Amino acid sequence: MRFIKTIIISVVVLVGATISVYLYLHQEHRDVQQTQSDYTLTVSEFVQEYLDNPKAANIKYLNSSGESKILTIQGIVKQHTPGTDHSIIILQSPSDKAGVQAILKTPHQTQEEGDTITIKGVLRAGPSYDDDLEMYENGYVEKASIIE
Amino acid sequence: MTKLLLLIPLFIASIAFSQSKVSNSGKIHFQSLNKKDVKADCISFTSKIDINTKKIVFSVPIQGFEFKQALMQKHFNNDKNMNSVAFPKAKFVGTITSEIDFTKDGVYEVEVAGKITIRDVTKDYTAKGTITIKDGQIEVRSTFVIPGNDFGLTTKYAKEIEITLYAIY
Repeated sequence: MRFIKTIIISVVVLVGATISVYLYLHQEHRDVQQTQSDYTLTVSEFVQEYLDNPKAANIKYLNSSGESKILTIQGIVKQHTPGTDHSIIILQSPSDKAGVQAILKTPHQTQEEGDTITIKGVLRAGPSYDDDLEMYENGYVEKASIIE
Repeated sequence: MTKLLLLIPLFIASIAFSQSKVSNSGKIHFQSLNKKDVKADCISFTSKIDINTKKIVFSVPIQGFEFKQALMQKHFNNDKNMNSVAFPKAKFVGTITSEIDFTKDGVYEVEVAGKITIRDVTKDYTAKGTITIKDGQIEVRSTFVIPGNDFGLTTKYAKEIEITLYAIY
């Protein structure tokens, strides 16, 4: 009886361990739109924070797992490039040196240049001045959707 | 009036010498040649091509590389590998060394010599590719292999990394 009990416990532990390892190896990507935003701010505030102190901003907004902060960010549409797989929206105020380039996974409704909109997405990298590009590079936000 | 007329060629020349095009449309794909399922795509980047100097630049956010497997993406970004918090972008800065006429439609086989910077390590590389010019639109395509170990990547999967990119300007 004791032997059977040991066998059953061993099987249960083995099955549990196998399932845990499988779930760990095949974990899903985070659903950005179903996850609560870490920060709500304007594009101007975000850009200024990065230009003032990029190292501190990287530590604040980026995560070493690649699952960086989710932003709800409001800005003025500077450019909208619709595509079949995704569309690209650049949010930037005329008075700012840089903006945010957002990838919207689903082709979205038409956005007029000059519209003020709010998007939610995950940050990939912040804005900065690049000597080689000889221009300010926008921040990158992906898996975004327009929420307002 | 004569002075004003003299300024016109200078004005035209200044426009000609500052002709550059910026792209944020395209894709950068990488794949380990040592383990086929280690691969990812990035659709966020900024590239600039100067049609006068033939300088071409790509700036790519490391965290923009999307893997099919979430765990692989986490390992890719962590401190032991790409360290994407300390080094959030990779960069290529090069010059097209082949003959190309940006004013004439066509498909040009080109060679680009330049420097790749990953994890703050910069190495010289030469890549071959094609540049297609049609109706004022420029499309750049290239596939090349870099040894990841050159950039301090110690994982065996980074021994040979094939990079395929295209960008539309």
